[in-house]
Amino acid sequence: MTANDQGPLTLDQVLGEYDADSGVVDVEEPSQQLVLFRLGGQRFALPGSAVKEIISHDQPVYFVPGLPASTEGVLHLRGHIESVILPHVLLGLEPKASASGMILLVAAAGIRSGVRIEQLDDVCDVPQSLLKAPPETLSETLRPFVSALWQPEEGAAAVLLDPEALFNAYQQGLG
Amino acid sequence: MQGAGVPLVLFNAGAYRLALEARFVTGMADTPTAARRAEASALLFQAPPSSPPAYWLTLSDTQGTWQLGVHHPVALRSLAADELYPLPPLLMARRAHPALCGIAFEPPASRLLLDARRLWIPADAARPD
Repeated sequence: MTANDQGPLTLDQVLGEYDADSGVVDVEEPSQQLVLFRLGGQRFALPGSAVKEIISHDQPVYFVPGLPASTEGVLHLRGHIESVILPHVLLGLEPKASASGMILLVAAAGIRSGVRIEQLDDVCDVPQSLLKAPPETLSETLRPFVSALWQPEEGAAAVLLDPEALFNAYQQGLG
Repeated sequence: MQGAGVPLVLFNAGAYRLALEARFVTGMADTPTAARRAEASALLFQAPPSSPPAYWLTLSDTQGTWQLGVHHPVALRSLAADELYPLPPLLMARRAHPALCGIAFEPPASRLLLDARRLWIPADAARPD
């Protein structure tokens, strides 16, 4: 407490000085939320900011004829319908016989759609500094849809997908 | 729009459940009479018909009258506006035929809504849209 030659301190002065001293310095490094999941046995991630909802595997998906095999159908969610796509073909993965995993409701490129995954692993915050550029060894098929690679301390690396690139490619007839 | 309905002609095309706005259907016959005609599965999905059409719906466009071959059951029913949904954008971009425009839910199944004005268009004209 600073000396005051002018007389006694006021309560406001004392409490104000205490608040100023106790200011918290933010030393956390920027991080990104990732939704980690598996497709074709491989580990993938989507930015948490693009995943609007994680939908249970038992949500009914209605088949719609006249669409490519990479379209599972539509789901009826609280008065809206959303498309559900199977990203395997687009990512060069083996298509899965049964659609038993959860559905990620993803918004990107001005579009919202369900994306069927095989297994949800985790939702976590990852420091930006740990997200690395996609390696040169990445397959030609996968490369256009990958924005980064995250290698955790333990376990397999996760490929961070660019949802905008995925939806744009799907709209253009790929997959 | 809640409470308001859209009169639709409901029918099957092979295993698929479809619907057309009733105002575009001017008649129905057991046998085809128009020179221009197509079976619905073949027209929309390039699928060979599983059996001969049970009925022929009469429609018309700028080229005149034509007939659409459909399967049982055929019914005229009004569906509430809040039961009808446009195709989501990703599906709109990838549909096999430009007449596929929406979905009606009839749990546990769905019914595909067709735009009668875009039916007589070859399927390969659907993309790009």
